[in-house]
Amino acid sequence: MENFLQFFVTGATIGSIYAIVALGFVTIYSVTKVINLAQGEFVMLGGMIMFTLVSRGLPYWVAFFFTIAIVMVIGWGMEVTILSKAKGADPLSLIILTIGISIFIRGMAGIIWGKNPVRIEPFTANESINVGGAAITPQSIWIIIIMLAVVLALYLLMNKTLVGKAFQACSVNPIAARLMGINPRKMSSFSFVLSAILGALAGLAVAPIMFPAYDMGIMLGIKGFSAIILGGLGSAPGAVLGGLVIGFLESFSSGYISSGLKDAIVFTCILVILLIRPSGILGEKSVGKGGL
Amino acid sequence: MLGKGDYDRMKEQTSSRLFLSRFRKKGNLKGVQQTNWIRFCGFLALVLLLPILVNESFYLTKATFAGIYSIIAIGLALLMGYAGQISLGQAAFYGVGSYATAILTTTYGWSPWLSLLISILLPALLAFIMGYTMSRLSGYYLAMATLAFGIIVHVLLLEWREVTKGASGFYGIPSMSLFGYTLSQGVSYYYFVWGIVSLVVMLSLNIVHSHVGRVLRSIHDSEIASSSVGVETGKYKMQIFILSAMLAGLAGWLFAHMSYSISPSSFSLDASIIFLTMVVLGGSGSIWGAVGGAIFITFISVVVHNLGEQFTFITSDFEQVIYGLILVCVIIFIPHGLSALLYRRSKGSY
Amino acid sequence: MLLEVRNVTKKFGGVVANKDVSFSIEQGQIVGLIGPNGAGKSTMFNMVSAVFPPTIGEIVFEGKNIEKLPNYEVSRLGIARTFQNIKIFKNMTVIENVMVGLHIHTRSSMLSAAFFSPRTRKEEQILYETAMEYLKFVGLEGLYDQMSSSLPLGALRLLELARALATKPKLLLLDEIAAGLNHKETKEMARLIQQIKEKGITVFVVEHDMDLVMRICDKIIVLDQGSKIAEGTPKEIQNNEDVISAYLGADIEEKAGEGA
Repeated sequence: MENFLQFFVTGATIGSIYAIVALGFVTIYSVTKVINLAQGEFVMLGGMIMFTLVSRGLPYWVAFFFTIAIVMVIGWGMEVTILSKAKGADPLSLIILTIGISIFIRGMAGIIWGKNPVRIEPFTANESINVGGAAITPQSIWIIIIMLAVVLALYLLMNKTLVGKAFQACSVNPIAARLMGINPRKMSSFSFVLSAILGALAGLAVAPIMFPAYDMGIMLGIKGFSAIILGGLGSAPGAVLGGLVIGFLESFSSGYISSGLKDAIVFTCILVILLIRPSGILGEKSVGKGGL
Repeated sequence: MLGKGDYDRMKEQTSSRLFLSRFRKKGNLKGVQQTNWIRFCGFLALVLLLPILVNESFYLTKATFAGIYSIIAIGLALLMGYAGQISLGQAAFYGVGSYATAILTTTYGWSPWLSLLISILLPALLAFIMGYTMSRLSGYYLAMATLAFGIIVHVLLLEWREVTKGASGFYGIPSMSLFGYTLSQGVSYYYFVWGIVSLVVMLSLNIVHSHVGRVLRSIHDSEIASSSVGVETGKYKMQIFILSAMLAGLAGWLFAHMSYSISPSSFSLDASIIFLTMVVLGGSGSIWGAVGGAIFITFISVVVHNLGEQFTFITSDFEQVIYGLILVCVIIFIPHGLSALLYRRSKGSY
Repeated sequence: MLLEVRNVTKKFGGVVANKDVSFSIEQGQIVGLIGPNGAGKSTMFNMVSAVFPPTIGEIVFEGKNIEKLPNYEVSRLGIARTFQNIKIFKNMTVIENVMVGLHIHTRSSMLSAAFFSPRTRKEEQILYETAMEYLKFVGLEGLYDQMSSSLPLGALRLLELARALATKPKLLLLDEIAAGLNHKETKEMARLIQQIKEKGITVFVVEHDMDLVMRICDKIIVLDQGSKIAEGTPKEIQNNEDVISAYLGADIEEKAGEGA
């Protein structure tokens, strides 16, 4: 039972990180129909840039916000320089394109930061709290809080602000949105900026417990991608659900079975779920057979 | 003209000498894609000549690798360009083929020629199971499924230590012999690999330029129109997927017997992405493009390696950066790859 | 009866596209399916050619239920079609398009193709010549080696017709085959359809061009808002009160829509 609680907390923690990454995927997908497989690199950049800034002597929280700003600019730059040039490409090309961006960023990170993992201080004092036999680090609690805050903030942004309404309009019907005076180009840039912020936040939150390295982005990106596929492409609640499901699967399989096999178990489960529900848990649209 | 019973007529003519002579005269089916055999002969000449021009063993080994990658790239090019489907897990089939022969020959003492069958059939079986269960998936969902498959296989190669010997790799794979002649790294293996590449190229060109190839292109253009004239689109997609897995398995077999040892790192997601880069660079759907892409990417890794020996700041990360740039630039500027730049598709033979 | 549609209903989510439609088509006729926009004509066509199955009801072709078959099997039974928004294989030449249309009459497999067996080669030659005959029939033989993406609309419609005929269908479905054609091309198309009928192929058309429908059809079925409202000879249809009011009503609504 103690183990169970411990695994549960670990699952919720990593699940929350995946959920934030997955929300980044959904943000971009809903407006541009692009699956940005470079999403994980935002997370990596969040951790690595934070490390550089802190080691240069910037105060922790100043560095925190600077990091978000820098990753935001990178996300914006990516949309403006590359993805805007590939409008109308088919999904296959878009997957390849974002994989290209992803390995480019990873290679650059390897050149800049080297291969060694780095260490970043947690947000607050690092003494574990003991709850029912399970040791919970304050950073885990912070991660879960950040995930909940992100969900709330996105909900408010999308439903209560004008820019969110415009965003939704673009995702439902880009042509009608344009007729109403919304600029889809701007919305596309905005989605990348927003998604980069989410990635950076995830990176900042996870860095203290994960020892970030130049190549951490790829697996996080894949898990985030799995989360939205699992939840149902384009569905924000699905993304959060998918992220948490993967987090729990990972934590329990590594706890009860084998930590080496955890990814094999997680992805086998994902394949099985896709077999039963080919369009994800919360996905409704039929995949496979396209209409006329 | 309608209802003339063309097929019956065909059967009659099969035995007719008259028809054969007519075929020779009218063999040129203008307006139909056909293989350019002159290009193929030029390719053979280059393959034969290279070891005479380059005899440093490092370059010859790299050239042999380029051949092995070409085989995988051809399969992937057929899958992407003709079935319109992406595989982010091609390295898994490559790994299964490689480990199958390594285990059977080393642990169980099979002949490499016998294990070749398993190296090809096991990936085919896995592809069949994948294709069968994932037939309802397409687009991003399919990409996810192949990605997941690649990761699962990679993890199993790492973790199933009793059989695969884990991350440190599998040692002591025997080299093979042909007509009593041992094929080891160097010129003999180079010719062996490129001989097989030539065969694979020839068979693939035949498929691509046959009615089957035309049907595959039709599926890529419009699946709904294709099935409306009676094409079993699912069956053909499955066949191509299995074919691509078999080719990757064949490449794995060649790789295992070339190298004394193999380790899971050769079959990771990164490897799948490099294969993808080769195909995208060459132009998916082009056999020659796939071969060219494989050679080009191998060439880049050689260049980076050589530069790295002179300048310490150049590391293998440069390769990643270059591959990334290639993928991005090709998709944006030349979506049909280098082969489309070199000659117009519309002219037919390619 | 060649084709019988029995009590067919099709729902997309909550939208009812076809409601309890029944009709039949006799061997050797040209039958028209007409109705105002949104009447459910294309949905009916897609069900007959097995693009998707009906929600309720039966579709029987030559005494065989086909509503649950995949569309490639339906085309093997002898139903071929063209598409309203042309679906030609645009990365192929004209003759290659028709050669794909001959697919169900071929036998060579991927294996025999790989080894370029003599049978494959012979088959290729015969496919080529047969395809050329179909191109001659629709009058496109001069363009046989052109890329199909470079053809004008009229030629594309003819090419789709040739490709559909190449399957040697018993029933040919033409989905607005005259849409976008000029007066001369439409006349030519009408002549071709008559010729196809003379070959013994039953033709089922969805058409907006009333002139064309009234001229060539032996029987006309009228849909309105998903239901069949009339069936009969062109003359009967022209004088049918329900049909007139359906079309007038739609006209008025459309005009009102444009005004808003």
